[in-house]
This record gives sequence, structure tokens and C-alpha cells, in this order.
Amino acid sequence: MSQHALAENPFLVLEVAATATRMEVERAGQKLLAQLALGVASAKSYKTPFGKHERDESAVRTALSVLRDPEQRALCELWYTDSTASGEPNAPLPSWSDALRSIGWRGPCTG
Amino acid sequence: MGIDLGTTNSAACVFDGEQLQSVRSAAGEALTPSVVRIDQRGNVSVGTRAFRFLQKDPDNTRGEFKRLMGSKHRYPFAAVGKDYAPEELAAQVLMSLQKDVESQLGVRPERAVIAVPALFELPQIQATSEAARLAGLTRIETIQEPVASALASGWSADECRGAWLVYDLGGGTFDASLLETQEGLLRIVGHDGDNFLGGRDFDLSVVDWLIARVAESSGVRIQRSDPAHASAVAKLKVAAEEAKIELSRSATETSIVIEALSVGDQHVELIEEPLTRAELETITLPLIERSIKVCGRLLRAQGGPQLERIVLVGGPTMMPALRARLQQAFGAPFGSGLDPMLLVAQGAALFAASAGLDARASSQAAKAATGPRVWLQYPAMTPDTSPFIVGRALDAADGVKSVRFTRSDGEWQSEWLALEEDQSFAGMLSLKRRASCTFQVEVTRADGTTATANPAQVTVVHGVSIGEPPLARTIGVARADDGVAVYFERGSPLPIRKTFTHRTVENVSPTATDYALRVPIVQGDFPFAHLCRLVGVIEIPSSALHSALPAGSVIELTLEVDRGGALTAKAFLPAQNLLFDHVEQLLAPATSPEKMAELVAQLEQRASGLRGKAFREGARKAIVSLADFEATLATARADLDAARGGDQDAAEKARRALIECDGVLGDIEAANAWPELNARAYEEHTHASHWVSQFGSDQEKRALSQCMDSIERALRARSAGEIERQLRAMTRLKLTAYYRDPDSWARALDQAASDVQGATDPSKAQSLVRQGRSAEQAGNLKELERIVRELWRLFPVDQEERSLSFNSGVR
Amino acid sequence: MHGLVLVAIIVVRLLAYWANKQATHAGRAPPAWAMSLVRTRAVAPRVIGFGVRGVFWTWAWVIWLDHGANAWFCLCVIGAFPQLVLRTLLIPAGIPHAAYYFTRVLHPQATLGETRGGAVFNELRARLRWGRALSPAALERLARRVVTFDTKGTDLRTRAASLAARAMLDALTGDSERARELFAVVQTMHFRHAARSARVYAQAWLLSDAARRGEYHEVIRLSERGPYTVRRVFMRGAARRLLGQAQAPGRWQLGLLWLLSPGRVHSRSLLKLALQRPARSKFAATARDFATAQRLTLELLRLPRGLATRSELAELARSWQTVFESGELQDRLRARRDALQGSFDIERVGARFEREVAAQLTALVPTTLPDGEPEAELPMLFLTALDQFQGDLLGELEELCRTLPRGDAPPTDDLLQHWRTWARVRTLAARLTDTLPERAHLIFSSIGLSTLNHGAWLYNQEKARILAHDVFRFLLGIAPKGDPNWQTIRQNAKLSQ
Repeated sequence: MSQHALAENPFLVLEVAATATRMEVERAGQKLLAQLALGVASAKSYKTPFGKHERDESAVRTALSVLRDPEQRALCELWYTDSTASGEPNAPLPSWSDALRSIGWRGPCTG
Repeated sequence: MGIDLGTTNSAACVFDGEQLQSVRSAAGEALTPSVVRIDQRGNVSVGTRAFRFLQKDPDNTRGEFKRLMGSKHRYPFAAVGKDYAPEELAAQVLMSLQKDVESQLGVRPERAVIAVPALFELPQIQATSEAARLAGLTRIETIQEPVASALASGWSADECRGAWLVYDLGGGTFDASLLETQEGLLRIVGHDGDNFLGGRDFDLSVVDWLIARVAESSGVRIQRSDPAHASAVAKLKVAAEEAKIELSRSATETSIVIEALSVGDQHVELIEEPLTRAELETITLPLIERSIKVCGRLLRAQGGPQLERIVLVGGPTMMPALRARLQQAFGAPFGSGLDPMLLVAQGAALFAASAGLDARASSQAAKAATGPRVWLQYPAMTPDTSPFIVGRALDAADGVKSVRFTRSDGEWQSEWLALEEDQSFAGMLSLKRRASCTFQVEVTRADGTTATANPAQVTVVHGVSIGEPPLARTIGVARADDGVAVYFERGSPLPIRKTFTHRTVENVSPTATDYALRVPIVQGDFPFAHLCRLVGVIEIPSSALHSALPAGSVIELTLEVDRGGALTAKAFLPAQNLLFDHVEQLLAPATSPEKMAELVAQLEQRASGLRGKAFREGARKAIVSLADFEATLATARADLDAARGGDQDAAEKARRALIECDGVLGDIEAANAWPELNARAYEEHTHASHWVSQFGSDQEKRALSQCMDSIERALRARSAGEIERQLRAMTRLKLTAYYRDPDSWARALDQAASDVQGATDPSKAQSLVRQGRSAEQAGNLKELERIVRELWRLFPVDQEERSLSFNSGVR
Repeated sequence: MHGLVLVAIIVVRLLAYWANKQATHAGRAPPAWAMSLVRTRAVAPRVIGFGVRGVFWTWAWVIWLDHGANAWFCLCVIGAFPQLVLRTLLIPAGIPHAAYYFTRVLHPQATLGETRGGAVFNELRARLRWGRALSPAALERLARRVVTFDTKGTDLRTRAASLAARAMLDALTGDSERARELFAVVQTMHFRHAARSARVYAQAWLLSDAARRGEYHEVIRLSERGPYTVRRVFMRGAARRLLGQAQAPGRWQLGLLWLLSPGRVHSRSLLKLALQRPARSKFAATARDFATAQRLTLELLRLPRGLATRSELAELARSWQTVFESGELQDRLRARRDALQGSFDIERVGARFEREVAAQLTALVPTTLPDGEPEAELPMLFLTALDQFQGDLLGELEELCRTLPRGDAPPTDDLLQHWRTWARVRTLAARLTDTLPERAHLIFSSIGLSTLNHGAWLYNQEKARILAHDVFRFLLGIAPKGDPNWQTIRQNAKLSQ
């Protein structure tokens, strides 16, 4: 999903600005890894323009290694959008929960 | 503690937070040769003592077992009558190193970091872990050798700035890594190497020289590829190595002395050949040039940065000729104060410190400590002068309210850090540059009292850190149409995990026995699967399925490479909710010399065709590539000859060289394909528009112009499949319009009439031709069409295909 | 008198069947009148069905003449017109076993060619009415009865109702993807092989399933084909309103459609949802610079699936194209490269960013509906994204069709497998035709021949005539008239009808 790619932007995962220095990025990453090791709740999710996403240790490590490479970092900066400026994500379209009942189907249907 | 388990020599180093200390063996040497000897009473000797027996008692002494780690090979030991796997021999070496550490420092190590080569596959890494487990190490981490040497060189440097080249010339392999350094943050940017270039090859070139001299002076002909001469060659090798080491260290001239050399029925009592340093230089120059070429390739791939420093790793780099040539080629200074033989072990020890892997057993902790317990997370070693420290109070009953850290030299103190609701806190520490700092931990309780926490203090070292090296090669999954679905590009940062959805190409039924759906995992930069190297296979046996799996059903593949570079894979079938994660790992497959000889013949044939074309068109790039191809093919042929003599290494080299040649030819053919495709597309368009403009409907004309636009876009995007598809559509439009022309059927009839003798039933064909002519005269087009179609059925497929290139199947 | 007529019908059909068999044995072409009566009709069940119902019908007539409308008369009417009872009583009341045996014994007209499959279909519908007795073991038992091969190897007993039953079983066991594919095939089957009740049910299920998942653009697409019902018009109107499209019906129109459509009790919630939804204002690019393009991308991605329109995507593509052509991207990259002290190639990174933007557009294309804008006016970036989408789909189609058996392949007897593979082909082709109608002609040039040969193999070797007919009918729909093979396809379609 294309939303996924934008929401997993390393800057969003690490919660640093696009203009952060190398040392600030490493510092933020190290802090998050420590908090995740301790099980701090606030470290387990982060805000994106598409709502809250979860993060775990491997996501933080991946984000750190992506931002270490200048080429990848430049690309991530191009895709980075400031989540706070956009407000809450749009509500999805309401799904019609009674749909199958209207054709006389009261059985399970998933997927 | 860090351990370097090398092919020829092993070493261990210990880091105590301030200084690196190398571990000396009982004989007082920093290096322990990786040789194990087991005598008939079962006594095991490791190191220098065993090394002496390598020539005298080859059946009971084994060295260089690192090369076969992870394979199923077992070494037979004649005296005891048992055979041992390489892991068990490596465990013996590790135990000897442990004993040395114990005698030197008084502590028996339980945890360590072991350095492994960068291109080690998963089975080889697992074999190393197994060896450590057998040696009694409870927990180990592995680190790649170039990373370790980079870390050690960064540690001892005063400042880290710019691009560094790590030049690692070991006993059997050569690795070059390019590092980027910035304020203590090291990063491996690129990696290249030659798996068949090492100190051994230097020795072998001296041996070749010696063979020539021996033949000249005493007429004894020795051949390296002849297995009967093996013992003689081995003797020559040992002598050559000793001479080489001596010339590198001190002397400018030495003489090689060999006693009692016998080869077949020829026998020589004494051979004495003088060898000067200058002569050695000349002999080994081609090999040095090869290594420099590899470095050049690495630098070019990374954009040709200017090097700030060159770090030398490995015994063979002591050669003055090599050092001089490197200085000449790259002009950067060497790292000073570094011992090339110990750098890897030092780096491994530093990595152990930064990963918090204390070699001592954990019983040292909890000395009846009082005070409220807190759980702290902080980097044991960091290049950041103000790192974060994060913690959590473990017992809510203690009522801890805030925490403070005080540096032991008294110059800095943090403020009181308040705890959050979930008892966690975070704050920054301040470190002194390039030093180890200890901090006291204090807490305040709810009732206002202050106390020392448990643990009472933390130690942080300011040093260097290194990011994980990127993936060394492109990894993907081979597809049924010989394409590769790339998962990870070369140079992707680690760890990395990706999931893609694929679809199966054929039906698998659980009743079919002995059939398994294969998912091959390949590595390599080629677009065709057959050129890439197979590294693992996930097999889904048909017996494991719940029900029949139709073609086109979804299969989700997840490939993951962890920080150490080990690859794991999983296949998930959502339709039946089955997960398969056993990957058959494959090391280099064996190829027989006969097959390779066939391949050589095929390649030569292809090349001659391409060469002719390139010369006719004057394509410079292709001619240059073909010249390189010739050179590589020549070395491949030479290696193939050596392989026939039983040299496994040469076989491997030849196989790799042939794959490279195949790739080069493939590139030239692909480069030729685009202009050809372009020309074909325009030609087809001209024909098609001629007919469609005359006989096509408006819709068809629009469709034709759309096709042409799509082809132009596809040419720009270089997607051959799309172009083929649009060409097919254009051909169909052309034929549709062509057959609306009333004369076209008449022409087809004429063509068929001229070939009447080739029909399967000539008399019937003749009668049909007559009917066709009368229909033509009468102007009955539909009848004519029907007769021509019937005529076509009488001819072998060729005729019809030439006209329609279709294969209709219904009568 | 009426009994005589009935007997006459039975005799004529038996004669036609006998003539057909004689001709086949002798190797001649059967007479046209016999073919049109007997071809692709499972004769034996039809004869039995007509016979049984004919008997009841005669009885009812006799009783009515003698005694008037009493209880016996009613019973005989039930026996003569079982479909009525099923539709009005057994299925709405949810009595599964009665529905099953009713269908098997009394042979209603709707499922005349496929009594077993039809019986399972009706039993499932009855079970689902109240959601009872749906244990896996029971479903397993039903599954075994659904798709069967006749002992002579023809597939005449597998028609729409059997496939619909199979699809329902798939949906109940959780495999909704394959259920959707099968239902899509049932929805568009030829009326001779498919009872209207099965086709209507398939359409209703597909529409409801799409609405349940909140994919209203799917609802609009699905409502373009299949049998004409009020339900489909109502749901299309509701979906259009929910997506905020211009052609959405007004409040009163939608209310009227709701009144006319079936299942009013439950579809009231859909009506409420549709009426509550406000109209959406379209996005427009105010300036053609990097920041605006970025913001617009984010806004479009944040929209729920299906709300974005093709013209908005084209607008986004135009913005990005202007950014790429003006060099703003290169300037940004150069500035960042200097700041980061990197040494990468700006052209390469720029090209990679362009590819990623095109990939984002490609991912958004399938959720938008075509709006008729001619391709010549679309920006190049958008056309590249459409090419990518079409290329992926056609590649998958070609890959699938390459594995279809044809020519001399040995017959496999796995009819269900063939139907499933064919359903997948149809789904992929439909996806392309729905999303990119102007490029539909590429389907025939990609897979036309292989599918034609597969259809021939199905007819000749596998004796799967109904499936073969579906294949040829599909090809007839996508092949252009002037194609040399068009005649062959039409002949084959007639032959297997």
C-alpha cells in the first residue's frame, strides 16, 4: 500500500526533523532502542499523517541504517511530510455492516 | 574479549574499557597458528607445537579448516582412527585461547565476539557458533572482519574524518572495504574483494618461479597439476613461505634451501636458490596489481572519493613492495601504530565492549546491594558526548520519585529526572572525550529521602561506533521465466526484511508423490536467474498440503537479513494457512570440469558472432568488453586445466570466471537488443500503418497510434516485455486490415498454388487450387477465403505460420 | 388433453436424443432440429423432471375439475411448481433439508439441468437464512456433492447453481477471494446454462460483499454487468452518493429505488449512510512546485479508498511532471548533498524519486474509475503509471494463460480446477477492462490464442462443454470483428451453446 511507504518514513519513525544532524539522529535512535528494551509504552507507537503506527526494535534499526547513508537520506527527505501540519487522518468510508444480511446471509464471511 | 579465528593464524584481544591488550600464548606469542594435532593417545596439541608437525605428520595434523566450516566434510585422523568436523577442530583452538586468557588475566572467559569473513554464509556462521558452544563459551556474537578492523583503526586514530580504505590481505582471501568516517561515527560504504587472492597465492607464485629454476639447474620437472608431485610441491611451498617472510621482515636477500626432493623417479639431494627482495617484488607484482585493481573497482563504484587513510590488515601486508605500491597508487598515509595481524581481534574486543558483552560470568553482580532497584539502558560505548540514558524503577513499592547521575570526577551532575507514570525516565549524560566515565546513581523517594540506587554506578566509554555494513550482494527470488524478483539491492542497510506476493505457476496436488514446489533464493546482480548463484531453496512438498493448490494461487514470501548478514526466509500460503520456513542452504555447488569445458565452447561461439558484429559496426564499447572477456576466458581455461588435476579452488575460480564471461556476453547482447528492437518496432509500424490506413476502421487507426505511443514509452522505460506485447497487438491490427484487401486472398492462393508439391495431400491441394481459381474469377471472396484456409490446413505448419503465425486448434 | 401434450413433449425430446446418439455413433453430423433440442441439455434429468412435474400437474387439473380447490389440489400444485414453494416458503423460512429434497425430488425448472448442484445451492441458502448448522463437517459433506462429473465424462450437470454453491462454500470457509471469482463467472453466464435465480444471487452477493468491505468503487463496477435488477441500480446509486460523484441520484430518487429494491429492512442502513454523506470538493493544484505536489500527494493518499477521481490523479501527475521538468528537484538534491557531505549521483537519485512517484500513481489507479478523458491529454508521468499497471496485469494474465492445457494434453477430470482457473482469468481481464477501457484490445492480442486453444481442448478432450462455451463467449466479447479468428470463435460458441 502506498500509504504504508509514506508512513514508514524513517524521520517519522524516529520522530526527528528532516534537518537533524547525524549525531541527533543517532541519539534519538539510541534513546528509542533503550526505551523499547525497557518496554516503555510511549515508544511503541508514533504519529503519522495516516494515524498511529506501531514500531519495534527492527523498525528503529532499519530507520537508523537508512538515515546513515546520505543517498537514502536525501530520498527520505524528499518524501518526508510533517505529520503535525495535516491534522487527523480522514475517516474511512463507512462500510455497510448489514450488507450480507440483506441477501439472507447470516453466516460468517471474512476476508 | 574478541577473537580472530583466521585460516592460518588465530588471535585474541581483551578490552578493559581504557586499553586494548592482546592475549599471549604460553610460548609468549600473540598469534596462535590454526593447526590441530591429535596423536595416537588422543592428546590434542594446538598452535605452534602442532604447526611443526604439519609437514612431518600430515595424517594427524590439520590446518586451514576454516575454509570448510559449515560443509559436511570431516577430517580423518589416522592415529586415533576417528574423524572430526571442522567445528570441533575450531573448538580446540578456541579452548586453547581461553586457557591463555585465563593464565594471563585470571578470568575464564564465558562470552566473546568472534570475527567471521564478510562473505560467510549462514551454515558457516552457524558452524562457528557451534564451535564456540563446544569450547564452552555460553554466548557469542559474530562480527564481520572488515567491520572489526575498521572499528579498531577508528579507535586508535586521533580524529576520524574522510574516507578510509581497509586493505585486508589474509592467507587465502583479499577484502577491501571503503569506510566513511565522521566524528567517531564509522560506516562501511562498500565492500569488494577477491576470494582467491591471498598470501597463499604469493607463495604459489614463488613456487612457480622455484619450479622453473629447479628445472633449469637440475633438470627435474615438477608439475603443480600432477597429484603425484604433491609432496614435492608442498615442500617447495613451505620453503617459499619462509623465504617470503624473511625478505619482508629483515633481509634484502636470502636463499631457499630444500633437502632431498624426490619426484617420481627423479631425485635431487640439495637445492639452493638465492632470492633477492627485488626478484620477489617482480614475481609478486601481478598479484599486487590484481589487488589494486579490485580496490580501484571499489572506489569507482563509490564515486571515486579521495582517501584519507589506508588501513592494512593481515600478515602478507608486511611486504615492503606491497606497501610502496599502495602508496604509489592511492597516495594516502597508512594508519600508524596498528599491528596488521592483531587488528581484527582488537576490533572484535571493541565491539564486545560496545555491545555490552562482558566476558566474565555474571556472578560478579549483585553483591548484597541495597537501595531501590532501577533497570538502566545506556550505550556502553558511544561516539556521542551527550548520550541518552533511559531507565525504569522496578519496584513501585520503593516509591522512587526522581533520579540523578553524578560523574565520578565531580565535574558534572545531571538534574533530577522525574519519573513518568509508568516509572520510566530519560535523561542525557555528559562524557569526556576519548575516556571512560563512571556515574553514580542516586534516587529520591516520595518521603523526600535520598538513596543510592542499585546498581550504584554505570560506566560509559566515549569512543567510536560503527554502523552495520550494507548488504554485500543483491538477493532475490528466481522466477519461472528465468527472471529475478529482486528483494534487496546490493548496498541496502541491514537489518532488512521484505515481503512480496507471488503466484504459483502450476497446480500442485497432495496426491502427487515426490513433487515439491521450489522457491529458489539467488544472489547476484544479473537480471537472469541462471546467471545468479543459488544460495537457498524453500521446498514445499506436495504431501504437506491440505488440498490441491491451483496455479496462480497466492504465496507470500518473506526474506530477512539480520544485522550479521544471515539470511532467513519464510513462505506462507494464505489459502491453506501453511507456513514453511525451512531453507535448504547451499554452499557453492560443485561443477564438473567436463560441463565447464562445454560451457567454454558455447561462450566462444557466441563471442565470435558478437565480435564480428562489433567490428562491422565499429562499436568501441563492445570491442573493449570482448577483449576483457578474452582475458577472463584465458584464465578460466588455465584454471580448468588445474581443476582437472584435482585442485578444488581452481575449479571454483573457473566457475566464477565463466559466470562472469556469460554475464559480459549477456550485457553486450542486451545492449545490441535495444537498437534492434527499436528498428523492428519502427519497421512493423510502417507496415502496419500502410495497411491500416487503407483498410482499417477508425477505431483500429486509433488503436494503432496508441500502440505506437506505448512502444515509445516502453523503449524509454526499457521494458522489453511491454514492447513485445505492443508489437503483437500491432501485428494483429495489420493482419486484420490486410485481409480486408480483396487482393490479399488471391495472393495467398497464388502462394499456396506455387507450393502445391509440398502439401501433405497434393491431389486434394490441386483440386482446391482449381476451385479457388474459379471462385476468384466469380468474385466470391468468402468462398475464396474458405478454400485458402482449407488449403493451409494441408500444408505443414510452416506455410500457415508464415502467413498468420497463429496456431488455431479447433476444427 | 393436457397430459397428452405433456407426453408428446417427452416423446419428442426422447426422439431428439435418440437421433443425436445415432448420428454420433455413425460419425455423421446430427440433424439440426435434434441438436437444438438436446445440445448441452442433460436429457435424463430433464425427462424425469418434466415427467414428475407433468404427473402432478395433470393430477392437479383432474382434482380441480372434479372437486375444486381442496387440500389435494394444493399439494399437487406444489408438486407441479416447486420453485414457487422454495422461493416463498422454504428458503425464507430457512428449512435446509426440506429445501434439499424438494429440489432433488421435484426438479424445479430453475435447476433442471443440475439437480444435485441446485439442491445444495438451495440448502445452503436455507441454512444461511438463520445461520444454523454451518459446522465444517456439514460443509464438507455438502462440498462433496456439489461439483461432479457425469460418468460419461460430460460436465452438463455443473452449471450456475453448482458453481454458486461452490462459491458459497468457499466464502464460508474463509476463502473470499476465490468465492468472488466464481461468483463473477456465474453472474455473467449465458442464460441457457444459468438459472436466473443463481445469477441474481451471485450479483447480489458480489455487491453486498463489496459494500461490506467499504469498497464502493467496486460496487459501481460490479453493477455494470450481470442480470438487470433493481438492487443493482439502487446500490450503484448509493455508492455514487457515498463517493460524492457528480452522477449520483438525488435524495428522492434514491429513496424511490430503495422502496423498489428487495431486502428493504436491512438496506435501510445503507440508505441512511448514503443520504448522510456530504459532497466532496475536488482537490486542485494551486501552484506547480514541489511543496504543493507533496501536499497534494499526501491529501490524495489520506482519502479513503475509492474517493479519488482519475482527473485528480492526472492533476497530481501534471504537478509532479512540472516539478521534474523545471529542475527544482535537482536543485533540492544538490543542496542536500552538500549539506550531508555525500557523494551520490543527483541524476540517479532524481530518477529513483521519479520512479517512486510513478509507483504511487500506479497503486492509486485501480481504485479510481475511468472518466472518459482521452489519453492524448494525460501527462506523460500518468501514462507511464497506467502502462505499469497494464503491464503488471497483462504479465500476470499471460503467465496464467501459458499454463492452460491445450492441444494434446491428457484430460484430467478435475473440473473444479478448470473452472477456478478460468474464473481467475476472467477476474484479471475484467480488472483491466474496468480500469482502462481504452486498452482492452490488448487482452485479445495477449491471451486470445492460448485461450482459444484452451477452449478447444476443453470441448474436444475434456468434454467440458459449458466451460468451453463460457470461454468462447468471453472471447467473442473481446475479439475485434475483423480478426481472422473471429469466425472460428463464433462457430465454436454456437457449437457449444
